[in-house]
Amino acid sequence: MRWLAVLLLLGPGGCAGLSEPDSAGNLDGSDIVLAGRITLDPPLRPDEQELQMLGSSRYRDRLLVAVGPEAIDMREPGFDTLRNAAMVTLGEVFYVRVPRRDTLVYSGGSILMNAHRSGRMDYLHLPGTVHFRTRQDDEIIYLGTLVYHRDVYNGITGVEIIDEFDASRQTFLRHFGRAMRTRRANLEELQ
Amino acid sequence: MKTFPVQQLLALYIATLAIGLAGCSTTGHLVPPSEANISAVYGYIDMSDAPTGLQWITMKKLQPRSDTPYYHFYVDDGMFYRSEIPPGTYKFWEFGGFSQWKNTDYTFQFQGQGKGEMDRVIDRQGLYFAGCYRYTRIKTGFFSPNKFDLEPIEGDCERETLERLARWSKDATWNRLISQRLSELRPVATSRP
Repeated sequence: MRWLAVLLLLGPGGCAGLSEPDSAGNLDGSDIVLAGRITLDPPLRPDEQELQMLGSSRYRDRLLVAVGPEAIDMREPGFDTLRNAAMVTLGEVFYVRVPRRDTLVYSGGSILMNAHRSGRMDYLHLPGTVHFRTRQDDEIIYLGTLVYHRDVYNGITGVEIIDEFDASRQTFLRHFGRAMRTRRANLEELQ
Repeated sequence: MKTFPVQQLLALYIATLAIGLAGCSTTGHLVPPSEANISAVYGYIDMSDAPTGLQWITMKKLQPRSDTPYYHFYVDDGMFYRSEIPPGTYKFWEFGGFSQWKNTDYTFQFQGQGKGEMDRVIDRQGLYFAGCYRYTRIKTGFFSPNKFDLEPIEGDCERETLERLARWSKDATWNRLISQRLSELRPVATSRP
């Protein structure tokens, strides 16, 4: 519950354990890049995140996503959860460098919705808990465009996965300046 | 220099003490509706298990968007109520009170995501009942913030709350709606303790 409060104190995503790969996409064998895009439907209105707390405005239109070897309960995370989290921007393609495992779990995300001067903090939790297998020669695993549909209470009413694989490969090529070995994530629900 | 008789000073002291013991909750009459689509919302929370009595509760308007989305309620011994509520989608936001005994302000937050049991969509003029609940503390151990749950209270609570609400209504519209709803409610065998 308080991990984003810690983030607020420590910097703009600087203490989230996962980060982007370098601009050339150089990886040693121990890492893999997870790429994708996360959007909200309807999207956030400009004034919808009430970020009044000092330093909280940097979380506008951003969310914390969790990817790691095990599932993480985003509603009750511990401080060590941050090791498996990265700050990404809503609606934009993200690239997260993740320690390579045979199986990785995407545990969803959290958007800071309210950071009031009173100390109240609220999050919009995006469900996850899907896992996918990796191969030794994978450089980029493509997650897809995840569209989280929500109601007026910010309840998540459905998640749609849109496959934009071919267009995304072109985006990856422009981003990294080289063709990287890219494969779709074969998502399976975690039992 | 003006002097005060002892009786007046004593009365002032007793009045101050009484206000202090009553806490910061405020009461008032339901305001006559300024337009035909204005509603009132009421409910009850039994705070016997809480570290403080109910002294304030707020509701947030989610739709349509507003620059002043927070609605504060009158509170009378666990009953909360207010009028002047236009049509919209609302979410209960926070409640709490001040414990003089512990000299501590307690704020309890309703879940920020998803529709809560108390949340109402107000589409036309009426009295909207948010429900009767009992605050129950969920112990989480040392050094962890306590959690709470609001358990619905069954029985005659709505009728009892409405009868109390009637004392805060002088307006013909609210009186009519209260009487109408009271006539629909039949006393049931079990009641809140």
